Amino acid sequence: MTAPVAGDRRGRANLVTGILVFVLIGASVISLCVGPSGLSTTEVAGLLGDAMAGRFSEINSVNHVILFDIRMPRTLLGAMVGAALALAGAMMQGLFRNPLADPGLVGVSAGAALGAVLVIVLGGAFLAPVMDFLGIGALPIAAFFGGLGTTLLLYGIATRRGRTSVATMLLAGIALGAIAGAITAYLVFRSNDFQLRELTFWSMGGLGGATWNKLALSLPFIIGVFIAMPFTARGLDALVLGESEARHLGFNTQWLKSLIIFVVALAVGVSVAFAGIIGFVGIVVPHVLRLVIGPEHRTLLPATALLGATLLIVADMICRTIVAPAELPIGIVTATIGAPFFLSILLRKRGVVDL
Amino acid sequence: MLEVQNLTVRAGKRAILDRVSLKVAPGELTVVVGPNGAGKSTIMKAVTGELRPAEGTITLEGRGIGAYPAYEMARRRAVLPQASSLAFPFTVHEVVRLGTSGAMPAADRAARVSAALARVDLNGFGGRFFQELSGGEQQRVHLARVLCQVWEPVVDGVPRYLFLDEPTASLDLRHQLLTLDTARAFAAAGGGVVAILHDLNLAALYADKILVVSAGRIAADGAPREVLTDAMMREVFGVSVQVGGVPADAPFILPHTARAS
Repeated sequence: MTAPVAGDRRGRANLVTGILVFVLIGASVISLCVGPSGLSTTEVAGLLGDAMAGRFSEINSVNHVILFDIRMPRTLLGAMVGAALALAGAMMQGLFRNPLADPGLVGVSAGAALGAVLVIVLGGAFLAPVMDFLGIGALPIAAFFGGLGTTLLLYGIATRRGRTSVATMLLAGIALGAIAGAITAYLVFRSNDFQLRELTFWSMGGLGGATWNKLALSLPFIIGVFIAMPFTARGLDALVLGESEARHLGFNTQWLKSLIIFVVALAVGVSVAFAGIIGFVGIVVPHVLRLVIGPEHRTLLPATALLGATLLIVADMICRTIVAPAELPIGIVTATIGAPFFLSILLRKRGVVDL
Repeated sequence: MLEVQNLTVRAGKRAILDRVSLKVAPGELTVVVGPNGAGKSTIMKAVTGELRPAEGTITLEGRGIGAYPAYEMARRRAVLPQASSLAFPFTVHEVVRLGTSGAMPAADRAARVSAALARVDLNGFGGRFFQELSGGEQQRVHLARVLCQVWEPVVDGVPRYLFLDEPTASLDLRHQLLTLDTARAFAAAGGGVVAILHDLNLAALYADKILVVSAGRIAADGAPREVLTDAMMREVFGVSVQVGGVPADAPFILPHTARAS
């Protein structure tokens, strides 16, 4: 590494990213060891060791099921959803040039939820042919299109001549979220008992329903998000200067914006489909990291994914231990941490919002 | 050579620019002046490709600017916007680095950034936060970023261009002069510079060519001495004033003798 240049925070960013990798691994391991069943750390280590050595002697034991079919998919889903939500937040904030843009706050999650609810309620009725075609992938795909539609609408409303009005964005987000919420509520109202149970289970959010099947389904979405990440990083930096400035710096802004909106919808869609609406991850994580390693997206985005994954794993651990054997909805934990955070940004940057 | 022919831009039915033709030659500092709302910024937006003209052609080195992909345009010209704010806590170094190509080795980029900061008299400001600087300092940071983008005025015999939209607007006198010195040096080295200025004296001092824009048309086009006349001042700017010729070759406008008409 060369000598540090004043104002160049890449060295520090690389260091922090390295640390975050270890923190994520640590949190994942602890997450495997924590739960209401009282599976001890040594037992977990033993099971993991056996699995790695290819010995599955205890394959049907309760402990084996708890570790490999409950805790492991749950931890992995937590990591994926956390990373996706945090990335979606960071990218939206870059696109809207504002640290307050969060998929949960501006209606994108609500739009994705509407997509998911549409599939659950109408999946048996006139959406049946679509459902048959998409199979179990219908839920995340519908959530993706719900999120995509909302993001496109929001961007269209809030941006005039390349300038995004923050006030319009937040207010339009509230309105779009309310519309999506109203339609969702109507669909819930006219659903039958069976659908209602499915809806209730789904709308509580949380990682409780994690299975290897769901993981496999979400994988293509997450891979898509991660493949697109490096292509958006430099463009996002330029976009922060303004849309015409980004164009002058040589970026095809139309293409760039479309890519970002697409990726945000992918990330939010898959998160909402499998874990319900989880707010504030997308606002807390990028904000903290911008303060520590700076806002350059080339370093911010990977660090955001790592910290988002860690945060959600930790939040989930809190959910399933604090009132064990019952579980808290994970949204309670993330909102408890995140909402004060949002207020503090708002208070310090009152001038930025300026309603 | 940047050539504009019969450029017309409309907002609704009203023509903001009406059949404007002009040429910007490399090696020259072209200054665009004119009253508020005359269409100066619109010309700038059209020639930098930010705005699609209703009619007319804009060519750079004989090729329509629409035919250049964005990244290639960025290698041939840089644009300094009027004040732009940042929502995130970038350091000065990070902002200026946005102007350098990602293809350069990291050490070269850092050196380029430092050199550009020195050029705009912001030596040692790399570690400061952009948002905490004064308006004039922020403007100079952006100038440094723009200079990084087209560091060599000529590459492989092809000239590059600088477009500066009111580069001196929030600067103190010394930095107004330094900024225009930099622009003139860029032109002297073979690049082309187009600057919108409001200060006619600075325009007279630095311009090789002045374009006077009035009500969407080019009212005058030529060397400062030919363009800055009593008649032009009265007709375009609505100011009765005597254009002086002292002390150097450049004419000057003394507001002490002026009154709004």
